[in-house]
Formats: sequence, structure tokens, C-alpha cells
Amino acid sequence: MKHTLTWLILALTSAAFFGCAKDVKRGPGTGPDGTGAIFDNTDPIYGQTLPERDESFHPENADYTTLSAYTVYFAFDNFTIAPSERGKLEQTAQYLATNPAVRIIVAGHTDERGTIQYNLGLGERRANAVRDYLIGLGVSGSRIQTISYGEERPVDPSSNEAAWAKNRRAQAGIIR
Amino acid sequence: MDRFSLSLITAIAWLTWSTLLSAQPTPEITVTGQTTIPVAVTPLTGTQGKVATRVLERCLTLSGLFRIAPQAEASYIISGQATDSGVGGSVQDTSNRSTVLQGSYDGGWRPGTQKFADAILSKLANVPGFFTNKVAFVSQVSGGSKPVKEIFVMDMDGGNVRQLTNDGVLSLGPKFSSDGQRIAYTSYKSGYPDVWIIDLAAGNKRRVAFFPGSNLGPAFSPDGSTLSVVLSKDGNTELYTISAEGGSPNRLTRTRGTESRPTWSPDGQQIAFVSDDRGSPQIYLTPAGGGAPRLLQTGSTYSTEPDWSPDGKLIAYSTRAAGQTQIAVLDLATGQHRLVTEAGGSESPSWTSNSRHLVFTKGGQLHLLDTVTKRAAPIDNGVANCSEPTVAR
Repeated sequence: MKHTLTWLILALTSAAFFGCAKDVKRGPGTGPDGTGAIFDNTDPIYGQTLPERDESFHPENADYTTLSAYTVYFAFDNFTIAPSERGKLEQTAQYLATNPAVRIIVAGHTDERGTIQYNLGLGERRANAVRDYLIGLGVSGSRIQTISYGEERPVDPSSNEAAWAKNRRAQAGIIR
Repeated sequence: MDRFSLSLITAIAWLTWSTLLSAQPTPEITVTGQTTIPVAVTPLTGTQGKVATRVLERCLTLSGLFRIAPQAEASYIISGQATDSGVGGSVQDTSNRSTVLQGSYDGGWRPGTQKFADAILSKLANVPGFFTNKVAFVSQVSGGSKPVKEIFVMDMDGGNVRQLTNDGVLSLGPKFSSDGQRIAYTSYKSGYPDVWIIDLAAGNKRRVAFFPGSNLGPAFSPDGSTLSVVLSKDGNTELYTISAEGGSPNRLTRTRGTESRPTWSPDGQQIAFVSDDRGSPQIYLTPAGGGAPRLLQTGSTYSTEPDWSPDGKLIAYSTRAAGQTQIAVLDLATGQHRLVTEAGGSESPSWTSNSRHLVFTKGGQLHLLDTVTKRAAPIDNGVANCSEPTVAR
């Protein structure tokens, strides 16, 4: 019961959070001028420990086809779930509700701009943003693993805006 | 060029830059005398003379301090002999025909040639040599929908290339230990991004961090005992330290941002790292044992990939300037920073042992850069699609 309540609160806060994540992320007094407080130790959405790794499962073997229609796309250098993408996650959550034995891995990707290591982190953030959103929709976090490939696995290797838009994504794969 | 004129040039360069920054009216200063020293290399004799000559010329040219010239135009003439056991060399000043350098350099023809090049840098340009440093780097060896990247190592001049991994997966972000004996990196060998350590002497590798989520950006502490790493096991990427043997990590940050690419101060007391906690990636300093991070003023709100110089005084980083990625250097004592590359697409700086030259990548090609003169030259190593160099110094 206590957990249900926690998840409910998380669902509500995450809805609020993702609606204006950019603003919340910076917060008052943390302007880019270097004067405000930083690293304020508040972590309202994150801090949900990832499930232990299942070493019997190899991420390369995940089924990324079944849920491919629900691939979430992101703006440049951003990990916020855009309103246009929320429906996809609702459908993913619905799929997981009707298939309670299914576990997924969310793979986060970036476009080629930015440095390699930063993009690995950004891909992780995108995967986590999807995971958190799904948790907010009632899916147990223990069913959702994450992985980042950064800029290393483009859908389209071209260097143009159309290709970049396709590459900035988080894709759910079914663990099998 | 003596130490004084080099210091003077450095000082003038700083002055010019600070003038640009502060935009205060000051007398215009013209920087002169930043020419390369013309040297002639008489082909080295001995069984390895031919290859040693080529390596020597390449080292001197790459340094950005010399140019190879005909004898008639040269200020110095270099000669010597190279065998499998080493190199004996001398340098003659053409103005008075005096011998300014003479020595024997052992360890084989290649290390001997590199030591000779270092001696020449030190004697003629008054710049500490660094051509005995090694460089590890990443190369994408196959493309397609699942590109493969492997770790390689080479000599500073681009020769002696060896492939260290052959895992057929993504291997990323190598960093040398300060003794040059180990390389920490991220490999997807298990399917997940884990931290591995290659032990070059033992010829093996070992997985040391494989927590749920991402295990990224490993960097050895100066004493080699500890790694700083970026882990997402607690649900968001954060900076940690962990024993180089593996084990339980010590968390250093608690942010909503993404942390990446830590680098240690040479005294092991502090870690510089990247965080986008303020909305864009910037460089912060934090005590290695834990404490409040402090933002470094780098002149840009988009700065990544810091690398702390071996003398502790400078941090090189990549930054976004006019929409392009460039390398910049921050002087920690004065707080002054300046761009040291001329062209965009320059990334991943790694200092050599002299805290003046650094290696970076541009367009899949490794380059060597003199941060004082801003002279950069591609390192011809015969390997395509290179990225993320790390120098063992």
C-alpha cells in the first residue's frame, strides 16, 4: 500500500516534471552565471535504483521490433518527453500491463553532434526519462532496464537535420 | 630560441588574449619570432638508419618547433647512426660549426630515435621532449548498423601501431594510468557498457565496474589505486570513485544533470568533470574525497572533455565556439582561457608530458598541437576513424 502511494505521488510529480522539465532542471538560483547554488541535492524523480542486471540476458538479443512503433524521439541536446511522444509511452505501458511477464530494456541514442562521452550520458538520460515516465504510468521499475549507445548506433548515418532527428531516440526492446 | 624569448612570447600571447577578453584599450602588441627552427638531417647511418631518419624527421616536424631544411638554409645539422641497439647522434650549429649536442640513446632504434628527438627539442628549442610518450586511441574498424570500435596504441610519431582489443563490440574512452602500464576504458563486451582495465605488462584485461546501467568515463587517480567513473546505477548518471580493483563505489555528485569525463589533478586531491546540471555541459571541480563542486569559468557554457596537465597548472577541454567544437586551455592560477585550435571539429584533448603539447582528434584523424604557437599537425598512423586519444606520459 505504501508503495502504491509512493508510485502515485511519483506519477503525479513526474507528469508535472516532464511538462516543464527544462525549467525544473535549472531551478531557482541556479542560473548559468555561476553565482547560484548548484548541486542542490534534490533528486525528486531520479534516484530510483536500476534493477540488478540479468547477465543471462544479452542486450543485443532484445526484440526491438515489437514496440518499434512506440520509439520516442527527442529535441537536440534534450531528454524531455515531448507531449507528442507521451501517447507512445502510454501504449507501451498498456502493452506491459497486458503482458505482465514481459520485461524491457530501453536503449537511449543521440545524434552525432556533441562529444562521444557526453552523448553516452545523454543517451542514458533519454533511456532513464522513458523509464521514469513508464514508472509514472504505473509500470514497475524492476521490469525496465536501460542502456545507452550514445551516438554510436545511428539509424541514419547522414549528417543532416532529418537524419539527426531520427537518431535522437529511445527505443524499448523486449528482453528475451 | 632561449627560455626567455619563449616565456616572453607566452606572456605576450596571454596578454593579447586577456586584452581581447577585457576589451580595454591597450597598446597593440605584435607577436613576432614564432618561426620554426630550420634543421637539416643528414641521413643516419647504420642498419636502421633509413627508418630512424624518417622517424626523427617526423618527430621534429610534428613538434611544430622545427622544419626540415636543406643544409644551406639550416641553423643546425643533425647526424648519427641507428642500429637495433640504439641511436648515437650529434647536432652541429652551422653558424660556428660547434657541436651543441652529442649523445647515445639506447633501448633499440625506435626508442633511441625518440630519445634523440627529445634531446633535440630540449637543447635547441628549450622545450621538454615528449616523443617517448605513447598514445592509445579508439578506431572504428567496421560500420553498418552496429559499428565496432577497438582500442589501439601507438608511438607519439604515429608509428608502432598495435591493436589492443579485438572484441567486435564498442570500446570507448580509453585513459592511461600515470605509469603507462594500464588502460581503463568502457567496453560493451558483456552487452552493457562496463569499465575494463587492460594490463599492458601482463597482457590481459579485466572487468572492474559492471553496475546496472552505464559504467563510463574511467580515469585513474595519479597513484593508480582508484578510478573516477560515471555510473547510472542509482537511476541518473553521477560521478563516483571506485578502487581500480573493483568493489563498492563512493558517490561524489547528486544532481539532475549528466556527469561525464572526469580527470584528476596530478596531486590526486581534486577531480575535474563535466556536468550539465545547469542545462548545458560545463566543467566543475570537486574534492576527490567528496565535497561541494565548484564551477570553472571556461568562457563558454558548453565545455566538455577536460584533461588536467601533468604539471597541474592547466586544463585543456573541448568547447563550442561559434557553433564549432574547438580545443581551449584554462590556466588555473590566472583563470585565463584561450582557444588553441584554428579549426572547428577539434575534440578530445590529451596532454603530453611537457604540459605544452597535446594530442586531439579532428575528422577521425589524430593531431599533435603546440598550445603555445597553436601549430597543429596530423599524426600519420595509417589508421582510419580515430577518436578519443589518451597519452601515457
